[in-house]
Amino acid sequence: MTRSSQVTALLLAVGWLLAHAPQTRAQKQADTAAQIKKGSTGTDWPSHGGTNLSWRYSALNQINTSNVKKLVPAWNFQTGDYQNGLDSTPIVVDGVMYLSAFDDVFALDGATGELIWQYNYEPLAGFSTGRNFGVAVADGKVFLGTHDAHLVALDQKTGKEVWKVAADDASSCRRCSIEVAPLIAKDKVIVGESGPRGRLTAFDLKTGRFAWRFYTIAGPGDPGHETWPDDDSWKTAGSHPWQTGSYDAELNLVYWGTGDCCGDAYRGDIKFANLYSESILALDVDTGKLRWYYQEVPHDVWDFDAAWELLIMDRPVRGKLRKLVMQFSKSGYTFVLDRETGEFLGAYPYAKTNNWVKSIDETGKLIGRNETVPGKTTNICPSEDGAKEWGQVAYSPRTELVYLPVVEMCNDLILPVTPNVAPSFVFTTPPGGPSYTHLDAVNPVTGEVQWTYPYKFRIWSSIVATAGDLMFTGDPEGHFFALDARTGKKLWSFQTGGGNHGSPVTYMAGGRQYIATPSGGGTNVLLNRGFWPEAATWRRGSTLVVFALPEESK
Amino acid sequence: MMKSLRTIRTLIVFLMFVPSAASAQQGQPNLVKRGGAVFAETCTGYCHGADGAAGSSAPALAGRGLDADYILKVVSYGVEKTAMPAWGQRLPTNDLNAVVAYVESLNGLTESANVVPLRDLTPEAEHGRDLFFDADGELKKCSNCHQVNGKGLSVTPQIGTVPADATALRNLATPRVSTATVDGKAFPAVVVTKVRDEMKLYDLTTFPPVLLTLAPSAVKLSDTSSWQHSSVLGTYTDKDLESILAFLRAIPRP
Repeated sequence: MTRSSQVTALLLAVGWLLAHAPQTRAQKQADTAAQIKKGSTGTDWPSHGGTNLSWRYSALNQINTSNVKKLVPAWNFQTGDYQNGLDSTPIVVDGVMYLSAFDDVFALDGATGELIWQYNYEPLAGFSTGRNFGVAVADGKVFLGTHDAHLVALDQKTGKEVWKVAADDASSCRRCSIEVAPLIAKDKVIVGESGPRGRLTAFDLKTGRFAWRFYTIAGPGDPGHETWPDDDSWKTAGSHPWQTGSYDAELNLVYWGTGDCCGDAYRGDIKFANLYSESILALDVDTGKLRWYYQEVPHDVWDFDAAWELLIMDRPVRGKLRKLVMQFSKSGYTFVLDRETGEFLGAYPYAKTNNWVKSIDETGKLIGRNETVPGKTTNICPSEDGAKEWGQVAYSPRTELVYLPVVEMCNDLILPVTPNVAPSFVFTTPPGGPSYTHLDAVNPVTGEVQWTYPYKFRIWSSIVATAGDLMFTGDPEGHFFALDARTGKKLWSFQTGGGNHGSPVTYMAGGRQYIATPSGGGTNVLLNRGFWPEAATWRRGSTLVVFALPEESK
Repeated sequence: MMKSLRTIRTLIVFLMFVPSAASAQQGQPNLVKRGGAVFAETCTGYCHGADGAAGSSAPALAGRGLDADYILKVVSYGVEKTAMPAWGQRLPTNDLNAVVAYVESLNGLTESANVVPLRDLTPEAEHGRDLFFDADGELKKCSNCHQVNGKGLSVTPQIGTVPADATALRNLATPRVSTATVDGKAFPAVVVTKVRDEMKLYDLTTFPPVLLTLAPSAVKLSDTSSWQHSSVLGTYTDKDLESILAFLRAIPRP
């Protein structure tokens, strides 16, 4: 990052602060009690993001800052898949946990870890097992998306198949694959799917019948198709919606982020924005029709997906209460939008090393794009791993802070001279310093950092925040730990025996609060980006480790 | 060919690691399956993409005619000045072998049962093949319900007789489609299996078909249905259908 861009970023941040400072009255209008209830989990952990607002926040406080030191393991569960790791978010309903690990789904007693049932998905001939980010539970069924593009509904009590539908013929369809945890919205179960074009497909919860499909690339007749060259490149442009979206029941809208376009291959002409790649989409739940879209990065060559989780909250912006949707994007910027209209309300940088643009102006325009010249090496920050990876943030309505793990890393990007050939990314440390993580507690609208927790390597696990004023996450060395949500002070840590690269959750069973975390380093966590030889000692595995207060002290 | 490659691979692995090279002698399908799992975890993501079909930052590995010893070399030692790391020191030997076997399988060197190589297709039959399969994932293509030559989904059994022309294809009799009534609601269905306490049938009400698992006592079946094959051919023209039929005729009958 150049000095001038640092100054620009600083000025922008200060501008934001000034714009939002006189908010004491308006502040009180932020998320109403009803909205906080909607965004918080309680006894259960019902959805991928906690609730459909994707806060990953629990109103439970049996475990809190005063007693977290006493946390002890309550039970462990080994999935038996030692090699693949565990990337998924468990779902907990009525004291039963539903955990997916690649092609397996396990129902476990939330208090004891006893196996209630197990389901093994048999993929199409020729398909290996695939990564899976979790299941969804509703209407007495457990929903699993599969690597070979099926959606399976299991009986919640028995684990037996109720219905199964092929969202696509994965034996013919290039890259058609479902990794995401399905999203339940109203009477529908919705899955994001990779494919030649990314796609979102909604099925009826009860019957499995097809309801609608939305392709994440604008085809002929769709708004934005003119952002494609006059050829067939749009047909195979990807833009995969590979993380789970959010849902606002009042507005009847589903929000979903899309990934990068075209395998980042250089397509020769920057005038093409390639919609709806790297965009936030708002779709009508009943029809799948596009209400609005907002593209974060037009014509991306840096691999800055906008596929990450979308937080829904109501907060004042410039003195006026707004219904917001926001994303802590891979590009190292946070995008804040009005979720009714898609209006751009602001973007602020959260990564310290950030040189792919100089700034983003008040209309959302990228200023000073650091374009790459084919055949030449350009050092771009953040790296294609993202300033934040898919590990998800948490938002506590008590502290009004978002807990955000930020990785400072760059890469040398070499665009091939030949058009439509994928570029090469070689990871580097940021200019003048090592690569590291800072876990920040930030004001979600302004980006103002309340406290920061530095970490030598990378934090790629999701975060969970609780009404006990704690936040939990894990690191790739195997530590699962708790920080004071108000100060960032480390209060407790436990060596789980395997790298953490999953999504912890918390829930209540039999009057006892539990915190569960996947351990065992899934995809990428064990990868040494070239400057962490210590990565060789980070352990694999696939274990769910569950903690609680000792019976006598809860 | 395969044997000599395996010998070379075993030798290289032996020289590199000294420990057991026996894993290459494991059942090949298991090795490929295991390799697929390792590949999915380690090599997809930002790099080679699902099934080696190319990701965002590394080349496609499928269908490129790569052979085992080349794959082993690259996987073991990496490629300098690229993001491709040397996995020789990082993956256990059996996983390394498995990944090599898997990538090899993506390059068509492993025999796949029941699949006939289709050579010398006429241009029309080739066009028909492209129309039959759903490469773009647009639904309502033949392969969403029919499997031929090892590809496609088998909602119905293997296609036996090929209809004479497009009209015959549209008006195809579909004796397997019956009417199922569940909870008082009737719908067109194809029964797949029925055992004492479990029945599996496809609900054809919407596309794609939904495979339901039900208690036989919960289903009332009647042999007739008003469902028509033409109702799922909406996106094909008569000319398309003729090409598809040309493709089907080109597949050798068992």
